[in-house]
This record gives sequence, C-alpha cells and structure tokens, in this order.
Amino acid sequence: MDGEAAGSADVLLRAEALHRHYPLPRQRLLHRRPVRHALRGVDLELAAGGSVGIVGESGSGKSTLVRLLLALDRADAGAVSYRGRAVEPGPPRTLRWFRREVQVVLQDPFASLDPRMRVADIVAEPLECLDVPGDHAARVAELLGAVGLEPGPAKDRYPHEFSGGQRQRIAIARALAPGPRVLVGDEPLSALDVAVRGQVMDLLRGLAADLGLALVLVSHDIGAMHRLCEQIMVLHEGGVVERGRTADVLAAPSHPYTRRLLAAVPQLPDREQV
Amino acid sequence: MTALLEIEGLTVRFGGRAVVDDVSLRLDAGERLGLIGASGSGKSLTALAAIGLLPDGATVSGSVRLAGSELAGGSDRELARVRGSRIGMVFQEPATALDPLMRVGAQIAGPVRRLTGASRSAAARRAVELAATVGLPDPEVLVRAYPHQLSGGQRQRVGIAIALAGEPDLLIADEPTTALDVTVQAEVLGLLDDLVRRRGTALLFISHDLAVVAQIARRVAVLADGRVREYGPVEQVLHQPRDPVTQALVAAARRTSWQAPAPVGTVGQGS
Amino acid sequence: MTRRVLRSPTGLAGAVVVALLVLGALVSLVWTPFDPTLVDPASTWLPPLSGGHLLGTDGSGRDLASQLLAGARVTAFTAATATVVAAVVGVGLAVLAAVPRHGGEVVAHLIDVLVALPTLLLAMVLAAVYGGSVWTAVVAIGIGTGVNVARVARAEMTSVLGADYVLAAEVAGAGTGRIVRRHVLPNVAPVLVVQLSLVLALAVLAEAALSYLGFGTPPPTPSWGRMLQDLQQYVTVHPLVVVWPGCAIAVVVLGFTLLGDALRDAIDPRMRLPGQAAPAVEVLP
Repeated sequence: MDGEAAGSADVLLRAEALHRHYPLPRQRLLHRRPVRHALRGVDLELAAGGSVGIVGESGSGKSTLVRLLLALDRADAGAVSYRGRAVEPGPPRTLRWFRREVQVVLQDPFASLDPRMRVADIVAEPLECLDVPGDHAARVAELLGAVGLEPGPAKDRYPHEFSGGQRQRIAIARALAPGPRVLVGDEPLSALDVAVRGQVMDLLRGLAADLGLALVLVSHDIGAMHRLCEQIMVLHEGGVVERGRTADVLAAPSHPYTRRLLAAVPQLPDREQV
Repeated sequence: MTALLEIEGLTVRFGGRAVVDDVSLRLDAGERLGLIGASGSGKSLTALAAIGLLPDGATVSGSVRLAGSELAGGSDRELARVRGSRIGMVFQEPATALDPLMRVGAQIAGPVRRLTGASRSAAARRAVELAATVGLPDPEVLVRAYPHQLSGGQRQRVGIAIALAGEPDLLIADEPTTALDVTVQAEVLGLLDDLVRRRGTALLFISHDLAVVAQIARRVAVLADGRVREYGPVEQVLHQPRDPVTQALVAAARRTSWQAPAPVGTVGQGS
Repeated sequence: MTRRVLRSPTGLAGAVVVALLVLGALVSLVWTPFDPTLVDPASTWLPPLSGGHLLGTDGSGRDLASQLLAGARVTAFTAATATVVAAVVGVGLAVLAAVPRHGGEVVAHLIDVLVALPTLLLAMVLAAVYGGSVWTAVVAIGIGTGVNVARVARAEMTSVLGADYVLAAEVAGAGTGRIVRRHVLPNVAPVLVVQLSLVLALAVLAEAALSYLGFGTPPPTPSWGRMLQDLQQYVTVHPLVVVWPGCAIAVVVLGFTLLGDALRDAIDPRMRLPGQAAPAVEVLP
C-alpha cells in the first residue's frame, strides 16, 4: 500500500540492537551459571500504518521480543522507543502514554480473558486504567460491534460462554479500546480453527485498514504473514537471519533457515499437480 | 476382502444430544484416511468411540468392526487389549500424554511387555529399537531421559514409539502435529508417512488443517456437527468439493495458507 | 448466589445448621429456659424432660439446654471473629508473598515457618501471658489458621499472576493494586472461601479444645468446650450429658464444611452452566 512511505517518514515503534539473556540454573557448583541468549542484537522499525511480521519457532526469541516491545521486560542492551521517546518498564502511571498507543492481542483466547469478568468489564479495562475520556459504556458497545459481536447480548456474559473465535474478537476489542496506533499480535491466530482463523484474519486486515493501525505480528504461521504483513523478519536463535518485503522473502528466501522453514509449510496440492 | 476398520452408523450421544451422528467410515489395511473438521465437529469423539475410550456419560450405538470382529459393546478388558495390540494411538499434546515421572524408555517398554509378553530385558532392548525407529537421536542414551528433558518434537516421537509398541495394524493420530513448530511438524509428518509406508500400517489421521491432512492422507472424510459431509479422495474433495461445508473449509484453507510459488520441497525434508 | 447455595442439598443442610447456631446465639441474649449459670443443689443430674429441663441438668443442677444455647454465643462469636482475623492475616501475607517485589521470598519463608507453629500452643502461650479469654483464643486461632490460609492462597495467587489475562491487564495499564483487586482476588476467591469455611470449622473445634483445656473462655461464661470438660468425669455415670455438647460441636463443624463446599460451587461462574454450553451470541456477518 504505502510501501515507499514506510521508509523513514513516520516511524512509530523502533527497537535498536536489543539484547536479552537469561541466566540458567547452575550446572556445577563452582562453575559459572550458564546463560541463554534469548535475543542477540535485534532491530525493528515500524512505520505508521505499516505492518511487520516476525517469524520464528519456539526458542527463536520472539516471545522475549514481544515482552520488550511492550515494555514488560527490560533489555540488557539496546533500546525500544516510540516516536523517539524511550520506552522502559516502570510504574503503570509512567507508561500510560505508551499503553494508549501500543496494545496487544495474545495467542490463547481461552487464557487471555479473565474468566471472572464480564465482557463489558474486560473491554473497558484499558479505558479505566488509562483514563481514556468519554462514555465507556458507549465505547464498549461500539468496539464489540466493530469486531463483529452483538453488543447487547455479549456485554453481560462471561468469556466461557463464547467460542474460541468469539473470544479472540473480544480480546481484539479490548486491545482497540484506547484507540492505539500499533497493535502487537502474539500468535493471535494459531489457536484458532482454519475457518475461524480466516475470519479473524479478515477482521484484523479490515481494522488495520479502517483505523490506520500499524501491525506487529509474531507468528510461525507463514500464511498469516503472507496475508497481513508488508515486511517480514525471520528470527532464529535470537537473531534476525533475514528481513525484507514479505513478497520478496517468500518468493526468494536467501538464508538456509528461511528456506528450511518455507519448505516445511504444508502445501495444498495445486490443480496442476493432480 | 473385509476392511481393517469398518464403522457403520456410529452415533454418540451426550445427554440426548448427538455429537457423532450416524457416521460410517471404512479403512482397508495399509490405507490412510484423513478425518477433517473444525473443533466440536465430532472428529476426535469418532476416533475415541472407535476404540472405546469415550468419557463417561456417553451412549454409543452403531457398529465398529476391526478386521471383521465387533468392538462396539465389547468389555473394557477386550478393548484394552485391542487398543494396544491392533490399534495404536498418538495424541495431540505430547507434553501431557507422557508420564512426567517415568523415564521415556520405561514408558515405551511398558506396553511392549504387556502386549507382546516380552521379558523385561527384551522389552528394554525393543524400546531402544523403537526409539531409533522413530528417529530419536542417541536412542541408548535418550531412553534414560525424562519427558521434560526432551523437546516437543522428541516427545511426540516418543508418543509414536509407544503407539507402535504393540505392532498395531492401525495407527490413530489425533492432531499429532498441532502443538508443534512448523519445521518439527514437517519432520513428524515425514516420520509418520515413512513408518506407515514401510510397515503397511493403516492410518487414521485427525486434523482441522486441510493442508496437513493433504500431506499424509489419500482419502478424507469431512465432519461437521457430527455428520460426515463429504467422503472421497483428497484431490476430489480439495478441487471439486460438493458440500457447502467442505467448500467453506477449502476456501478458508486456501485463503489462510501460503502456497509456495514453486514446489520448494517435500514432506520430511530438513530432518 | 444465595439461591444457588440453597438449591444444593449440602448447601441447604449447611445453611440450616449455621442459621440454627446464629439463631440460638441471638435467642440466648434475651431468653434462655433457665439462667445457664444458676446452681440448684436440689435438682442435680435430672434426666431430660423432667422438671421443665429439656435436656436435664448437670451435677450442679444447671440447665443443660440453657448452657448449650448460651454456649452457642461464644462459639458463633469466636468462629466468626477468628475467621475474620484468619482472612486478614491469610490474604495479607499471601499477597505480600505472591506479588513479585522485593521481600516476597522472605514473606513466603516466614509463612512456611509460621505454619509449623501449632495453633493450640500459640493460644496457650498467649493465654499464659495475657490470661485466658475469648479474645486470646480468637487471636491465636485467627493467626494459627491464617498462615495455613496464606500458604494455600499464595500458591493459588502465583498461578493466577502467571495467567495471560494478568499480562493482558498489565498491557491495559493496570497497576499492581488493580491486578490484585480485580483479577487475583476474584480468581482465588473459590479457594479462599473453602479455606475460610474450613477455618470456621477449625475455630469451633479449637475454641472447644482451648476451653476444655482451660485456656479459652473463662468461667462463668458458658462454652461447649468447658461443658465437655466439666461433664467428662461423670461420663460413666451419666453418659447422656456429654452427648449434648459433643453433638453440638460435631454438627456445627459439619455444617460449616458443607456450607463452604456449596459456596465454592456457587461462586465459580464456570460451574453455572452444565458443561460447555453452545455459544449463544452470534457473530455478525
């Protein structure tokens, strides 16, 4: 869409040379504690309205990257900034400005909604916590409608009364509540059935287009990357092994790991091959 | 010739609601059948009903015949024997299907002894063999490991080794790769493909993912709301779906999946 | 929620027992058949239903039914206040130990140490220092059981704090206080309710035990535990008299346990619908 403009014009979220390691339990008494390098020097740039996909398998460091991008964890080296302003974990009050701008949708809609809260309270939580002005009840109804749920019957129910796809819609409504400009999706589709996955994918695409949302999509699902992200970066063992325009990388992967990953994606047999 | 597994008019009810409704399937020796459907379509319950592992409170009617002998209504003891020796089962979540407090070698050797009557030492040797068969690295060492010391893919390989312990004629795999990474999924699919081919084992492969099923099965049955909506060769179901449910499923799969521009590889590459 | 508790047979039975206890305690404030402390040398060891004494009298000629009614007061009061103390101690310690911040580990270890301290021993020490009274019993029982509540609650809170919905709340801008209030406490509530109902039952038992040992309610205030102690030496001569306070204690303990069970079931919204109900909200096209 605005492929060229995505260059340097209006960078929202930026990560520079992120490093993060975790100490592991000591193996021998007098030896040093071993260390796991979850991230080794990862850069990321997300332009307004742009979309970046981060592909990686378990152990690639993508969960750590998400935590750093959301100011839930502190990098050992490197920095995250939003529109030039440093983003660091800290008391909620000092992060309000950032939380209004950057929100998240997590993987498992069965775990990410508090089972003891009504849907209306779940969606209203960011509105209350971030002191978003306006009529919260009306905003909740608007959001539920925007994600394709009927606000009337939905708002007073509890999460367990909904299917997986519906719950993920509720999670998306919550993320959109404060009117963010960046939506981070941490495997938001992979817990869903294929048919439902398509619907939620369409919803995310539509919302991104309508609201001018920028997307960071973390996933191992190449199909989702292909549909939702202009840019892609391939994460392997804590480092970026390949990055570029999604179409280019998928058409001509250059790194051996990317090639291995793409070769592993299950293919629907083509008509020609039959 | 009689079919290896023949399910006729299988109906499972929970409190009056039919969750599997008049399902009929047929699987010949060495054949591979994919069972496809969204969650709640009844695909897992069909498989569980076929081997008599339904949760309490379910009422079953219809007929399940394995190599001509009726399983439906059999006693628990009979079914338990059939389950291990004629039918092996691989589950979705390798982390919870294994006993966390038992070495994996012992978990493979247990059913070997029970089903083949092998001695303790023979069963232990067989466990190492099976571990090698399913492609576990360093099988002699690895059988001494506990499940938490293995990766997800390795745990699923252990699950497959356990399913093979009784030399079954039929392997039922219920979403065996859903919890795995893409490259690991390809390896495990490759392994399953290779194993059933070499051993002539029949495979009933259950998944919600059309692309995965298309990799491994030759025929598919599409389930929705407990009923078989379409039943036929993979190519036919994929390219000329007749039932609206199948059409929607195929359309969704095409829409959400990524198709390589040129054939980039085959199953099992990269292992 | 009340209706759901009363609809289950165990909940109804528990509620009836607890209601009887509270009713008895309240009635005894304004009326008892006789003065429970009135000694009448002319009518000792009367059998039940004689001389107007419903359950008979003891060796001093005091009316047993009146003593039981008045004893319900001490039992109900001790159980209720000790449970409040246990709730405050338990939830407070558990939150301090579970919420990740400096010192949480220390509190967790402190809980483990305190758990090892026997409640009755604590009560006896307190009674030795401050003199035996209903209040020392309440404080001792409250703290003694509260640390057990804290240990269970901490484990539960730690698992809730690791849940995705807490992560989502953090991204939604919720601070620690709000996360504890809105997410952690409601989600550990079922466990807390069951634990506190156990505390109620334990408190009844502990109060009886302390009074029996002479460290609890001082005479002349009637108490079931002290009734047992007074009467036990005559158990071979007048076996029936021990049955009354014994049964009262057993039934009330059972009542609190049943009620706690029913409460736990009622408080969990996932238990309101049998099984996974079909989604009732349609997705818009």
